[in-house]
Amino acid sequence: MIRRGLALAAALLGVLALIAGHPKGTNLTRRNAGVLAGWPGVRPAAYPPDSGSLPGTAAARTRNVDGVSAEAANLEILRPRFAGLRMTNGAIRQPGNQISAVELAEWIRDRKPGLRVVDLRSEAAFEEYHLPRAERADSLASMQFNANETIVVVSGAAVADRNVYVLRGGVPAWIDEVMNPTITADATPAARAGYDRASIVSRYFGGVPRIVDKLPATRANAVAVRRRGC
Amino acid sequence: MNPFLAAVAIGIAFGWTLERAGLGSAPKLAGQFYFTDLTVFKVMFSAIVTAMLGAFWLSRLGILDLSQVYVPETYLLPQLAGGLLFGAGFVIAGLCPGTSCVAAATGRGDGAMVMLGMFSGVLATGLAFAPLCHFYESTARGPLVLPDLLHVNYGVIVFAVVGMALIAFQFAERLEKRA
Amino acid sequence: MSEGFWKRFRGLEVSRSRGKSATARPQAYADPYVAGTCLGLVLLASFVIAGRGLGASGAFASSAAGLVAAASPARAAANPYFAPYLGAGGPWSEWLLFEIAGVVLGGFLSALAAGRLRAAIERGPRLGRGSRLACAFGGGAVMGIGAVLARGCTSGLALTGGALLSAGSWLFMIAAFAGAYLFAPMVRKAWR
Repeated sequence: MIRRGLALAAALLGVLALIAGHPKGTNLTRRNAGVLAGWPGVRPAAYPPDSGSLPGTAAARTRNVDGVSAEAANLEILRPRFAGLRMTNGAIRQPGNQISAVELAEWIRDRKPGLRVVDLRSEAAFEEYHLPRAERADSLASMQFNANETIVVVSGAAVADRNVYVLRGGVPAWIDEVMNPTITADATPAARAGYDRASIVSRYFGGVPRIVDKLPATRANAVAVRRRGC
Repeated sequence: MNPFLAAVAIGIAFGWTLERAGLGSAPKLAGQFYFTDLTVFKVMFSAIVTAMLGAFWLSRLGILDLSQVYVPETYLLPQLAGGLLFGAGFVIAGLCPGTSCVAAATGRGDGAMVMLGMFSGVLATGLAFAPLCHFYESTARGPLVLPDLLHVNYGVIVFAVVGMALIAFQFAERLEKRA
Repeated sequence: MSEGFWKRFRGLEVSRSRGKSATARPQAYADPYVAGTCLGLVLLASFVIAGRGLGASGAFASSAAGLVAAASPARAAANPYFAPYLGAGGPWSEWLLFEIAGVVLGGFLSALAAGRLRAAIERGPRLGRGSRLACAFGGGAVMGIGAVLARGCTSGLALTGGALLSAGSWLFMIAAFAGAYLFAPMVRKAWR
């Protein structure tokens, strides 16, 4: 009967899934360009973190949200046949501009189409802490980009070319402004508005916004971020 | 493809299927919670298993990029509290938001009333949101999925969900026979 | 759709042309497992075509935001819950509104085809019409509060989030079933 057939099919696919382990295709990368689906009015899109990851990559993760360890720049991209609808994004910016950490966080959270976050620091620094969805590279020249991609260089020299931005303040600014936004109780309304905006995106990435009596003199470091835990 | 049309088309298929299953009828839905009619459970979990397996395998075959699909974010306390409240409201009303639209569309006055109640509840909560805001934003975990929460492979969870569903369906059949 | 469906649909038209009443005898509901599988396929199609799953409560939230904005734009913009719905195309461009419109149409068409269109107030055997409507409104309102807090309902969280293995969605689903089962004895009079 139909019921038995459905049950059997489900059981079979379930067992095969157990064997397969993870849903990623062998050549599938998360950088598939231009596949964003939806709608101008759609709520910010999220993504399932790296599933079935190898033990070694755990060290570089931020809490819960980061799914992508850096992969080598020249992976073969398998473009899915059904890519969803293309979403147009109205942002207009001049290339070579600086962008604040909070704004970059909002771009990442909102799945800005064609966004590539590039980290030019050393492997060791990258392993210790890196932004969600960041890719490591030795230089921009060694990477391949499509015409419609937006590149944000997190640390290192930028190229005043195409849609390239530089994260103002680098990774330390990300940690300070996005992961640990801090404000004093007597801050100005404008500063408060900035803090509120940062808090929303901060919580998305597992950060902890705080209101303190006195701003800390030193900046937070990556190890402290990871140790905070749940 | 036009996003407007796609949304409407998907909605039509959704509403059609719900009505076909009988989920546009409040007494049938309420039967779930008195163990007389477990259709809600059967339909919901068949759908979850089907879509879960479909998403896994389409992604595995490279047809669907799973990382591009919107995963509802996790907020532990609000979703726990909201879930309990939602469940209580569900058994009082006998219809959930989606099925209330189907019921109203098929002429059921109670369906229309549930829609009105939903709208009022959302509106009132939104207007009185200020004291709730802190709770609303608490315990955020982002797009956390079970494989990462439990530190196992995605495939293990898929297998577990399928297995649990099939076993639960057997129990459901037996429960209904007894009712 | 199965072969049986098309036969029944043609049967409806045939009986109409023979002068029988236009509303044929209502059909039996579809098998829940088959219907559930079809629902899962619709959900899967949504993932592939639109990159997102289904939903319902978001449509209510967006229309509420639109209503507040129409009444008082300043108030809506200042409200932390409604404000996000007012950007990027406005509250009336919400994907879920269009999807819900489809749900209404699809439910209507299915009932039409199956002879299940009927003006009625469905209720338990011991409940009067007025009380039923009051319960419907009250239950709906409580669901509205829950849906706001949880950021979704059974369609958006239990179905979509469940299929995508979102932890919060599974938590919501378990909590919703628990809440319903815990509260069911108190409203037994409404249904049994």
